[in-house]
Amino acid sequence: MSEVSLFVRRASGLVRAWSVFDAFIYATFSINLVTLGLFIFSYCWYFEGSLATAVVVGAIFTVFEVIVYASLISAMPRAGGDYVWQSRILGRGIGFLLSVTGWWFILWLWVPLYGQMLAYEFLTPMAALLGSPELAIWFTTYPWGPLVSMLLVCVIVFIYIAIGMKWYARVQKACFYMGMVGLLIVFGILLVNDRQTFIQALNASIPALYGQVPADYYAETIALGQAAGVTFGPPWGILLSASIAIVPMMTFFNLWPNWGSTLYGEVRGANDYKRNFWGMASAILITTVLALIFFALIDKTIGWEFYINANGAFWSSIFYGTEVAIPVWPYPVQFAAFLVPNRFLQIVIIFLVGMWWFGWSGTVFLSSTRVIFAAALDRMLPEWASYIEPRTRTPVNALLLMVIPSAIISILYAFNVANFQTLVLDATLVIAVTFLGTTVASILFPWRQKEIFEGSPVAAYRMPLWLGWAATVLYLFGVGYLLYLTYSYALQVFAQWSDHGGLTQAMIVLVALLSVINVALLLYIAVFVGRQLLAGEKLPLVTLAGLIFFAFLDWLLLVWFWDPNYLYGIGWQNSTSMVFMIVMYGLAAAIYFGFNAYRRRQGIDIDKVYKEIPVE
Amino acid sequence: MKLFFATDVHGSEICWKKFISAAKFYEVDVLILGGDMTGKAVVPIIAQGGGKYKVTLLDQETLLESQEDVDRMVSTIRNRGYYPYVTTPDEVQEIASTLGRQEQLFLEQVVATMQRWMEYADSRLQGTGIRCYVCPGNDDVFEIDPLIAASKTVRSVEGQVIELDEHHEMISSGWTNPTPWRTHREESEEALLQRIEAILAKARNPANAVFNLHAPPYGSGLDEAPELTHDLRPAYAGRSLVPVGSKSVLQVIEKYQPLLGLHGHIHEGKGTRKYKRTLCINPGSMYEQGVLHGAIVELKPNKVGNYILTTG
Repeated sequence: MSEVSLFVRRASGLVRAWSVFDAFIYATFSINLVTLGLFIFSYCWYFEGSLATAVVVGAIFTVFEVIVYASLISAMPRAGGDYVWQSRILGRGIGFLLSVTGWWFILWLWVPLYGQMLAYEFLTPMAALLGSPELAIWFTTYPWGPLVSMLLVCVIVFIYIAIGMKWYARVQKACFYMGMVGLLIVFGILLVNDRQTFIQALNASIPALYGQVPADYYAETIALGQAAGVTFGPPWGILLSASIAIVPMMTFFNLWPNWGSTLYGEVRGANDYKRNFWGMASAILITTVLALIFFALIDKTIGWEFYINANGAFWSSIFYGTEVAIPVWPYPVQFAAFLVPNRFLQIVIIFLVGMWWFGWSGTVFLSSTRVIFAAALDRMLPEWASYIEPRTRTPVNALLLMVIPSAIISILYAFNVANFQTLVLDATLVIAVTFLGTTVASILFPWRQKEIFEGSPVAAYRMPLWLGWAATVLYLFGVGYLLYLTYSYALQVFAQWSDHGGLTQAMIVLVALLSVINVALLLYIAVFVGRQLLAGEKLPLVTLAGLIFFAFLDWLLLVWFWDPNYLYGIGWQNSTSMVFMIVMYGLAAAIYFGFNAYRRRQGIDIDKVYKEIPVE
Repeated sequence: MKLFFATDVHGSEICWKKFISAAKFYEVDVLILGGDMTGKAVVPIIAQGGGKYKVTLLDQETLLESQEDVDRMVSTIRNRGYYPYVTTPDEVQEIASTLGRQEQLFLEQVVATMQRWMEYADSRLQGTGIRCYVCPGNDDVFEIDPLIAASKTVRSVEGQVIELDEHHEMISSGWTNPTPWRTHREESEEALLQRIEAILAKARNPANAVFNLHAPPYGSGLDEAPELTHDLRPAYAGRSLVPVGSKSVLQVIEKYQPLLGLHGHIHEGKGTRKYKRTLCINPGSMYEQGVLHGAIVELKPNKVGNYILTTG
């Protein structure tokens, strides 16, 4: 008989462990190879590295993110995520500023991106397959088609919110199975066909489906891609140095396994921590493997050269108005469907793979409505914001706070006002800043919230002293490298100072100021951790993982903001991007300070909301 | 008049101490604890000989090598809401294998803890003028009622109407609608409705009262808990949330439209909900982390003034 180590009585809330597989499903949806993955791969048409290497490197760093989030969820479940962790560990102001921007405001920008993916991956191919080439091309042609698609996103997500989490969870699970079947069918089709068959199918399908004149679309696309300046590396081969430059693009899709995180039940411990970890880590692992398989199959049957050139030709036509042979986004799934000589089966494939979009799309407003509710509960928004319409039990006002700004941003995006379409990576950057805050919180957590940490299942995961030292030394090397990069990028950028106008110069100064703050933060963390080690403390796993992920996020932000080679297009040289972010953070700060002052005038001491009650 | 409401501390020693200390920290006149004061687990600290002990907390086995280690572990276990029990391997086997022995052990622990808590409250609140009301919840055994009644400063208000001030009464019940765990103070919706109506019959002005009812109103969003499978696992990895509150509570709130509803029971259901003039609050619970969720509410003669949810 095994030794009994716990007695529990009948009491509410005592539940058994949840399914890791279910957690994996939701995390896999959050990363989403088909929507986010294919979309951002298509942007990588001017890099010389290997996409496969970039995906793998990104995934390796994301594992440390998974450890950070699994640890915080286990230690402080049901707390309200980033908002409460940061508020509790770093202070309420930081928590509010980073959470409302990362989980609310920036989602306004995700709506046009979701809309683009809906148009490119579902509406356009489906309309073409249903015999309406004009409608198909209209959905891809700016501004009206994509704008309608963006507004459709709001409608679909509104429906998801209205049906509630009970039904949305079911929809997601059904979509996962359908989407996975669709993806495997696509893999199968690409596996059994060869390049020559694909070329014939492509050249036959483009005229048939999109009403274009017969031509050699394969060769023409490659030629137009080259004319647009496409450069690319092979899908395989390490090419580490060149591939690292693609990693900041890859985070657009593989930074999000933590959206599938979950924890419920009480009197539970390390096993649940492991479940959380494996739910998210397996999603990263499987998605990475699926991406590599997809690359291999694209290379084998569609041709890597064609795929990258098709992407380059398409985006070049959007951004620079250059000529394009294939009038729609080069959707590899549709390319695979071309190989099936049956219109109905093609529709089935597009429909099934389209479930990756439909099962995932609810995430765009779900997180944001939660943050709006949390802010309203903290009295940082009017009570009005958390109003629930009694008949449908829908948070209508919170939805309005999403839909109205999203519609405005969608219009700016669809009409490309002030080059708004260049802001794609802002959607990742702002959330990465929020994650950076949480990661810093995770590093400090064992000391700043000692009681909670010591009483949590993650307290047992402490690294040997030598490993703590090794990680810290590695971190210090990383800090040294980041300081060198900052200096080197700043030199390159300031060398161009006189080439730019006043607004751009102001942005350079702003990035320089942010870099100074960043240097201070990097050094503060180094000193903080160094002190613990010198005091003989074994570093907890959450701190160690936090150090590595923090350095990674910091590097991402550095290359995004300084971007001396103009690779990502959202840094100092893109005033629209910078102003957009300044407005968002400024709005968050205005709400924070405005409501703080207002509540204080009402007699509410809002500073005590997250302060620990001292016990005598 | 300003009150502080918290709920579902479930045996967490640090949460109880924070609750008692909250009056001074938040500068309130009245403390109200909504129910579920008792813990759900006993963690044995098992002697291994030579002054060493073994304990498995949160699936992690730890060897305690000194009395200081044991004392620290006792404190950690208590703060998480579990009952530490220093014992021997033989006694653990005996408890596990003897019918009724576990229940007896729990009762001993609950009683000892509750007595300690009442002593703590008396030592901190006596002479301060701060009133402290508690109302045992569905997870609380009936044996704690006389222990609370014996306190000089903490008053149990189950089934009672009390005057919070000259304008406001408070009616209280820790009973809930049925749960999958068949807990101590739960009953059918019909019986619960009768119970609440019977309390309300003693109130002078329910429309200006505070309804301190452990179960949140059904479908309020304050009652959303993970959907469970038939074998009590969170379905869909806990993503599917379903309302599990009380229809009787919803009915009385809609019928009498009191000023304020104070609820708990569903730890995940932190939030507020307005039903016409009634503000319903569930501050939620993070007792296992030693964090006291609560709500500070200012009551004006005929309305709720300022309020705020706290994470203390």
